Amino acid sequence: MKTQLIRNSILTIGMILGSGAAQAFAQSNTGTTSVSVVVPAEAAISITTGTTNLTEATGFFGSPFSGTTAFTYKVRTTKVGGAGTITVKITTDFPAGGPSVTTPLTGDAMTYTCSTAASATPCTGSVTALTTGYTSVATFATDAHSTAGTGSSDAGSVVWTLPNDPIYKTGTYAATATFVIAAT
Amino acid sequence: MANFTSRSALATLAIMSGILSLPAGVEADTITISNSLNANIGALGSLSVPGSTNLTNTGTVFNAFSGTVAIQYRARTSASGGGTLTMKVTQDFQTGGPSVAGGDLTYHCGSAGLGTACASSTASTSSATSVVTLPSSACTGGGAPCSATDPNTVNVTFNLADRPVVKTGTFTASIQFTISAT
Repeated sequence: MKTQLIRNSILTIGMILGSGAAQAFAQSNTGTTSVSVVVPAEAAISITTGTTNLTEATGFFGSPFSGTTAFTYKVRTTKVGGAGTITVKITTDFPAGGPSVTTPLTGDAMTYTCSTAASATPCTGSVTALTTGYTSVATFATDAHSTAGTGSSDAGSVVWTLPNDPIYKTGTYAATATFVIAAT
Repeated sequence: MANFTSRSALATLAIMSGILSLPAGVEADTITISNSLNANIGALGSLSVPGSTNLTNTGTVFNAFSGTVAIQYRARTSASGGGTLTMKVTQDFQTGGPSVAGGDLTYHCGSAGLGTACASSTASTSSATSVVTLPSSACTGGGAPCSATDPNTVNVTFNLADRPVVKTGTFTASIQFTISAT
């Protein structure tokens, strides 16, 4: 009876713990994170013309000096209420004896015209360059965007016109034009 | 004769007393029994990720946005198994914003505390992409042959292209990380 009792106990324990061989089973576990980004208004400009040479077309005093400064830009203005501009200022005038932006002789003011891609509105007509302040090259509307693509930019240019006054002494005269792009 | 009778009676009584002093049916004896215990320890994986991560950029020249997610995980793989820690973008950024489906979001992994970390990859909304690959017989914590630390950690750094065509505003995507072990 004692033997029978022990035998039954072994069988019972075996049924509880010993069922099935040891086996590997797959487990999965997941977790989720939210990734957020605040996209701001941004603007960038690059001048692609290293030095703009102003040359006369025909060799006559009636033919002004002219040259083109090319640039590329990227822009994103705010979706609601945003705006932007490209402006230029002559930060270093021509040296004495040549043309002058600050105090031009009558009729000798240096002017420019503008062109841009569709993402901007270029300046209207001929604009007089100044050393005393920035003048308009282009404006951007609300929710303006330059060309799609991480490495892409839009293009624009400024064509300078400088009267060919006989009073200027011969020589090479250099001035510096500084462009600024801004976006809100 | 009387002495003999008394002595016999006493002996009988002693014997009967000895018999009567034990509970009926119990034998004084020692029993040894053995039983095998089987603990089924299976492959297992678990992980923890932060609830949110912000991507930021510096400057104003359309530099890419970036941010890092630190993932903590534990794993046990079988001698003939292995495992993976993967991610999938389950919800893309909203319309007008960046696009994971368009390839704007890439990531790379720092060194993994257990397993092999991913190389640079492009995040996907259509399929899971690798973060960590776990070998067979992998285990977390306690030192060799398991990992030195518990839990294990892997940092995933995201880079999000800053394309001018994207509108201003706040955009959010959801990323699901999954660990599996066999």
